[in-house]
Amino acid sequence: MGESADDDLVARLVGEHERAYRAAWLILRDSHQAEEAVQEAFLRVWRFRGSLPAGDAIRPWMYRVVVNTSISALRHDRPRRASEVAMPAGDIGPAAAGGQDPGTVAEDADRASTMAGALGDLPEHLRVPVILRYWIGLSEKEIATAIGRRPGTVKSRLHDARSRLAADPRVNAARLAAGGEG
Amino acid sequence: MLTEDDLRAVVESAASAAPRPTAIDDQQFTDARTSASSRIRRPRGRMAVVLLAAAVLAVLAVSTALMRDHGSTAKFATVGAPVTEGRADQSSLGSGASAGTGASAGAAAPSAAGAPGVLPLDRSMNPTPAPLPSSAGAANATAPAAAVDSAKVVKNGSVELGVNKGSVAEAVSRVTSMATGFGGYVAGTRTTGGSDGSQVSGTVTIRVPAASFEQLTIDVGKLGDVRSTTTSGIDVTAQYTDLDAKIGALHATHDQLLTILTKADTIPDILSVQDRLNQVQSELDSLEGQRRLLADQTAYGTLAVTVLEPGATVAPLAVDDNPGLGNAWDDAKRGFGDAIEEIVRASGTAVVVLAVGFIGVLVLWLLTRNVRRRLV
Repeated sequence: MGESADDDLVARLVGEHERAYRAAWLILRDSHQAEEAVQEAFLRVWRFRGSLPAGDAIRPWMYRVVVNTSISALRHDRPRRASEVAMPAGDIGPAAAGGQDPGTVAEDADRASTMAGALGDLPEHLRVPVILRYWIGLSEKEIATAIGRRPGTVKSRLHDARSRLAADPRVNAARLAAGGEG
Repeated sequence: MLTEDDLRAVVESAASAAPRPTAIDDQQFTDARTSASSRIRRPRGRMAVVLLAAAVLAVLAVSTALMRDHGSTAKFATVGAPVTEGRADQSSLGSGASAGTGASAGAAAPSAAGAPGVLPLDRSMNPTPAPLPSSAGAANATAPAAAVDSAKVVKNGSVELGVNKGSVAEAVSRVTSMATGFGGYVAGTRTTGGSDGSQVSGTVTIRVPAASFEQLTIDVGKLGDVRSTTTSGIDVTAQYTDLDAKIGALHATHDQLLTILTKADTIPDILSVQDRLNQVQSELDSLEGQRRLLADQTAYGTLAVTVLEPGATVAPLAVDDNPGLGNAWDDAKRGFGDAIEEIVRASGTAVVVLAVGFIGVLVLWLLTRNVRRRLV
């Protein structure tokens, strides 16, 4: 792989870093573990760059590594993960930086925490496809590559996850609140 | 029911709950390349055993494939259909093992043999042994069409023409035109001049699409008096099929290793898989290169045409039947297959039992050593 290809890959990894980190966080619910998992995953992608597909085709593979390192960390450290659910008040991501009304910021943070809780209550095998589909934006086929399952299995899991979230009162309350604001 | 947009909003909202990450530094990737390699000591026992077992299986599989390949090529039969003098070789059989020759057949037209060039009878496609035809036309009628269609034959030939005095340049020019007319090209030319500055002989080597090779040979013969014609066809179907199979298997291995990579937990494990991946990639590149070379050699036939004035003589340009790496690969493969075959033949099944036993003991020893270390 040439230098320009290396530069492209580094640019792609840097560009995907925050999205990958938040995907790992949604799986792990632990910021330190998420950072470590993404760092390890990216290091792995970098080391194997000569064997991975080029261009956009690398995304499913990249997120496959991210998902696997995250799940591996999850299984090695379940007790510690249980302790971190709520976010530190002063460390809410994008909303806190906008100079918005503190009340709005607090509401957004509260809703984000609630949604993270609802998503976090999904079993791992349903949560991961949802994250890859609706946060990373992978297609069902790409998710199948990323989690090493058939596209039909992915479709079924996404359907199951959607049904469970639709039945979750926290999600419905948030929808109603958002509808009321809209 | 939640819509797609609702779900996206839920997940995006949940993702926004994550604390901001520490910014990533581009430099760490280039640093990682050197620092990670400096931390390498040796692969962990478990992965080492897996890779060792994989390597042993790969060696056994390749040996078996080579032996099978070597054995199967001996069952091939080809029929040469020369214009006036021809031969058909099997690249895997060596020079002395030509199965069918049409030398001195004396038939001036390819139709005498039913098909121009070489007709390979690949018994891997047709398990019923096909007898060598006493009449080439009859053989053609019974030969499976699929075998002919999928045959990979390297066609070479040379024609020596006598032309009138002062006509060498014109004849060379017409040969060149014919080659380009058939979609071919000139690979090389050589001319020699007389004392008066005119050309007395010329040799032009042309490459034309294999399908037009026989027609071109006939057409070239019409440019003057044919003094001699030689054509040969080397059947590389088995070699090509073998390469295809190996490339397919290596692609599958490559994909499996990528899957293993995503599950490897430690840097030593990753590096072990990486080493194997690099090997597989290297083998793939090499085999694909050989396949490309074969594809090029079979796509175009090579004809050396020598044009002579009355009384002139010239040695024709050599036509390499199977140049380059293809020969070396054949020789190495044949030699390795022969050696294994000889060993097995000489020692019966004992050597196989011993080899398998040795590998089993080695794997057991590695496993027990690993377990003992963990217990300590």
